[in-house]
Amino acid sequence: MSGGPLAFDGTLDRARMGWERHARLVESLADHDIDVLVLLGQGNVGYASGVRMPGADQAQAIHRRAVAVVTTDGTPPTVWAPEAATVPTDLGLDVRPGLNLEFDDDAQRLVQSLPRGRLAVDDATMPLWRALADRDPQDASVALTAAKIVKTPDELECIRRAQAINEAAIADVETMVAPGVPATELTGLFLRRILELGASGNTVDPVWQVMPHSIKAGPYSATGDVVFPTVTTPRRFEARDVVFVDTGMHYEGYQSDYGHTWVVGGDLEEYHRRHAQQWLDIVAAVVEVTKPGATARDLTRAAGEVYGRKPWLAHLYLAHGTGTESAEMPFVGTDLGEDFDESIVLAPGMVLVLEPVVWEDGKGGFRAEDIVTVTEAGCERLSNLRFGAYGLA
Amino acid sequence: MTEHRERIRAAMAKAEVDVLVLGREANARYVSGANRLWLAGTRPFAPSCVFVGATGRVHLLSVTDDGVPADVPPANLYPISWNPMNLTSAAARAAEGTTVRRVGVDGMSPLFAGLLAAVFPDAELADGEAVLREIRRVKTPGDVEAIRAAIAVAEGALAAVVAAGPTVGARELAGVFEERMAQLGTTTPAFAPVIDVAGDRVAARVGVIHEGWEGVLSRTWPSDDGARAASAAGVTACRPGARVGDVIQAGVSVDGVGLGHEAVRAEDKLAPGMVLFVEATRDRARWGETVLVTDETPEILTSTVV
Repeated sequence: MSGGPLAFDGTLDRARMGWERHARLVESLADHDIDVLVLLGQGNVGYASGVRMPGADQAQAIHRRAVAVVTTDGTPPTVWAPEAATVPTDLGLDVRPGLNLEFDDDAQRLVQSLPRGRLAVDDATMPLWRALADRDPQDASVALTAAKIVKTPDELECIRRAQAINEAAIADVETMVAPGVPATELTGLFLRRILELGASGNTVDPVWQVMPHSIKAGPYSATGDVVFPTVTTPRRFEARDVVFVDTGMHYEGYQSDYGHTWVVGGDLEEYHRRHAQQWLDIVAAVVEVTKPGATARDLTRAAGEVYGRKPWLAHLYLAHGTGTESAEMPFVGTDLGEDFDESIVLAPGMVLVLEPVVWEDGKGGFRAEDIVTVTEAGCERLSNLRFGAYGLA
Repeated sequence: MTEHRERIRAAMAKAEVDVLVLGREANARYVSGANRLWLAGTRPFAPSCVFVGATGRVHLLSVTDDGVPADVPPANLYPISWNPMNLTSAAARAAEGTTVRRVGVDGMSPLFAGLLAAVFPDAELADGEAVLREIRRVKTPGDVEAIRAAIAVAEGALAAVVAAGPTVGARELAGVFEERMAQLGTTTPAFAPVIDVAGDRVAARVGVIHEGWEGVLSRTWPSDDGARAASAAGVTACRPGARVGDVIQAGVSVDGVGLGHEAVRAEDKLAPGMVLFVEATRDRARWGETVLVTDETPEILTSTVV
């Protein structure tokens, strides 16, 4: 359970990734009639400039963030970076000292530096919002999504690597799951192993949620549906606990997303295997229709119904994209509804995290996550889920 | 939480803010006491906690009451939605029956500016972050106890790093810290451990988020090149009435400590109840203490001996 960072077969050219992302973003800005793009979200800043601040709790990340400004005039982005060491040197960035946009003086300094033209922003602090009042800021999300939703080959390699590290860490964690073990011990091993295996950082407090047999037996649900996820506590596992696992970390800013279901003690009932098989069948049906030109609605239709319900959580989705954000466009099966799903058309290079949930109320259920990327011919997997514990391929 | 909410209501009255619509986790936690799923990094503004000054009511984005204090009843919970209008509608429902002229927010986007204007047509936006920053800065005795508990976890996990020794690389030592932290029952670091191994010397700044509160310290061992003495000079300068800039003058950096990192600026005046992280760096050595400003001598909350 050691041996240093994970080795990878695929090639990754970070400089090429940076140039290609910038080119995609500039093209999208032109398409959306935006001249100046101001980015505060650290996933967006990383996408536009390659600058990634070390991982941190939200409160620190807000106060020590890099800010990027992208223009359509052919020049590389400007970044205001609190730590010079985070700035890639091969992209020709205009690098300036960090700003704290929690305060008016720094917000005004940023706005005074911005070129003229139609301006969009992904997010703002109140001091920045006030300082931008005369610029009629537009929402950047549509232009950002148009660029980010299709991944370059280097971005796909980053996601593949992130997922491989996550899976390798989980393989170690899974060996310690047993009655009497506190859930937080799993978190400890997971956090250590992802660092040793070469992750750039953890993204979400790992979830090892013991599921009830029925919705009614579980915690209060504001939606009436299965409650997931809940926060991990030092509670000890018991034999036959059904555990929904959800973890995510990142490699070079690209997110993994690992979901699976474990039965503590490995003493499986017939219905545990049945739920896992039904989940595999749903994923197979969705994968079958996942190809260029298909809509998100085609995917929800293929998922069908199991035990009289749509096989995913009502407050979440059947599938979501992933990249510099752990859940990003395309979203499939959200509460935005069927017309929205109909409007989402798949294209090569898009990534989908398929996360159906099989739920048989009274017996419990099964949830896992499988990641695919859309190819010219259909789709291919970026994840490698194992079902040996269920006696399934 | 009652004490937090009373302080917020007083500050809202003073700032003439009727409703707070908050997106930041630390603000939501200060208002609600809820323990929601921890996510690293920034995320864009979206209404995830609403506090109504007139009624003292808290409405919270959560699909369950798991981790939510009993004084926020299930009826006040609203689920996550991918339609942003549902989130602003939830904010409007929370404020139903009250007059809303000023809405305090802790972030904004063009999308939510439009949607909030639609549900609060007579209201203007105010800087809710600034209101909360001032209140959160001065800790209640309960807050200080929570920070002490967080520091105990950080120090317990740092002890494992010290025990591991300098033969292990910085990355592995970071892993040792985070593993021990989780074994102690806390699964969220405040930041990626800052660890430097130079020969047989290790310098480490580590922090945890324990029940929302930050516990942070830094140490260098076996020798600290005077960083410890420099840090002590900064700590001594943490007197009521002094400015943050005066402490920095002593050759240290100063950060606010509370529900995670808190912003302080050089011109801010110290007052009893403020908690600061005072750190000196000398060459590749660092030494940092978390300090409670009191009426008299500052109290050092961190105690790790290396």
